[in-house]
Amino acid sequence: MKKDNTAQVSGVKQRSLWQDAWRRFKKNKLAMVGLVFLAILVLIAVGTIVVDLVTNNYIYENYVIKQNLRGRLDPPSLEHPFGLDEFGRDMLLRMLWAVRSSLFMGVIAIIISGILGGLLGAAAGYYGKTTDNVIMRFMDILLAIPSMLLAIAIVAAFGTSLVNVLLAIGISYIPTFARTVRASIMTVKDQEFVEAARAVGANDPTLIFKYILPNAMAPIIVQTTLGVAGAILSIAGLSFIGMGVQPPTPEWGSMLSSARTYIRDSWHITVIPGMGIMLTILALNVVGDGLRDALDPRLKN
Amino acid sequence: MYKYIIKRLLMMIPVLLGVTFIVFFILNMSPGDPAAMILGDRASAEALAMKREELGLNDPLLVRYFNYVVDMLHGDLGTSYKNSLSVWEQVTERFPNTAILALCGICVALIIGIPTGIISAKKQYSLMDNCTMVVALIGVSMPAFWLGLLLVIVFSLNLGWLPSQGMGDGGMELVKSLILPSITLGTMSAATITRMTRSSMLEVIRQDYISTARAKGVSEKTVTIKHMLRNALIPIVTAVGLQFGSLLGGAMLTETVFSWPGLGRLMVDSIKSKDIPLVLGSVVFMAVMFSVVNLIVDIVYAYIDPRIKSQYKKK
Repeated sequence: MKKDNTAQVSGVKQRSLWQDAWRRFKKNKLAMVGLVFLAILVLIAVGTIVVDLVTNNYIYENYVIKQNLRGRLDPPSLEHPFGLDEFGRDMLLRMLWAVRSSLFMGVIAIIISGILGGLLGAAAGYYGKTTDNVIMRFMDILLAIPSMLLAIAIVAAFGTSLVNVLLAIGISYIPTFARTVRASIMTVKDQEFVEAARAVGANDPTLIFKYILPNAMAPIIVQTTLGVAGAILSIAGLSFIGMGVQPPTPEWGSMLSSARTYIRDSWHITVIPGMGIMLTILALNVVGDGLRDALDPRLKN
Repeated sequence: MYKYIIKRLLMMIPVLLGVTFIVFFILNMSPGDPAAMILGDRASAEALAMKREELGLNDPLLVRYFNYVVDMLHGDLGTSYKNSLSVWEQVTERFPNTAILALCGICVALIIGIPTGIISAKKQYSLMDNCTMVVALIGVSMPAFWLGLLLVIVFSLNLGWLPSQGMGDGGMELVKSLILPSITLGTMSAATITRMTRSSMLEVIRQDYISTARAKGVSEKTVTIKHMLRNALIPIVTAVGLQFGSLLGGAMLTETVFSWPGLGRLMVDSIKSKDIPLVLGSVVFMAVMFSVVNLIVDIVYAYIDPRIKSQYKKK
């Protein structure tokens, strides 16, 4: 495509909307710290998977899961910076191996709800009228059940397998996404460029996915970041009451659940996993806030 | 006003039917034979068949749902598989405990959230505002059940000031046992409400009518409460209403941490023992309570903002 004339004349380098947003995002130090922290978490998650593949689960089976009754509940020391847990396993290793459950489960759950909620919301916002009414009334009903309750009902009915927990959390976030997508589509769909594309003969899916959605992306991206934070919290909560990830798989919520039994004996097995959850959620929230300010500066006060 | 309330009540009916249907549908899809669960593994085939007939399990799902709703309207939520007690009685026996906890939680949230939000907005970018915002950010990021465990470690186990488990009997004991669970339950909501109050106050704080009010000599206190807060209140009330929903969900975790004898614990226990009627009854009950709270929130709107009420009058 030819460069914009005005940009050429004034000699200013042309920037896309995303580059602009990235420039604004970079100025937000707190958000950048959050982003770096998230990047480290992703590296840890991928790193532990690679280690498992390379060592054929040797470290996972012999250090992360295997119980070692000597040195149970040892407090943090030089040898074990995070101490040992109630079965004498190294807390640092368990914390590292737990990153992937929380992070990937949170992301996958939100992808499920993002796709389903997004499609429903897009249809509702684009077609309006009866379609909108039917879909949104259904969403109202889903929204009338607190998301944690809905997730619990699903897990209670189908059991605590990984897929069920993901589905449960994913489904409980569908209405939030449907609402966000619907609202942002409705602000864009009547603008001239959409009309122009329709006049040229674009069909509905092309219009929605190629013209409308890319221009309505900002609130959806913000919602996704905050959604992942919420999903990670929900997964940790479900695991805490014994309905999420099951021991001995390391997961922050289920680590806290077993720590509760030993709360009188040692503090570190309670404090450390919670710190992991809190820092992850904090990073996601900070990045979400930063994205909102960067993508839509009008919202900032 | 009555018309408005009645209209809202009527609008609640389809939502409640939908909610009960979804929960009923999900829980009836669960694998496993309830008859076998009641009678045990060694029951004969005939006995199982008879029990199934008695429970109405051979009817189509919609018929069973219809019967369930009719029974529900008569205050009958079925009987528990495990101990053959009435679900309705178990649920209503536990619910007040959860209600006390949720109310105290919301009080904690409001008492902390609204004043700090107002002060933060009025002194935007001051040291106090920045500190509040950092604390609030940490507050929304902290899993409530973890905070509960930390509070237990500090205030029950180390300082020995407050009980770590259970619900005290009457008077001071009850108050003492309520403190930690309420703080646990209310903190995240407090943080959310602080952030909400601050941003919604900031929206109105620079409006012309605020300057006008100040110019005509209204005291700063009146300006803040009558002119700013009242106009900023709608989003805050919405947030409070939504918080109540997550509070009911969070009650399950908080009740688990503190062994609080509420509906949330009942639900967790009944899920673990696969007692489907009890799970169904308590989820439906909680969802209904949540809808009632939302209704109350909507009615409160109309009191705060006369414009909303007049909208309904025209129709």
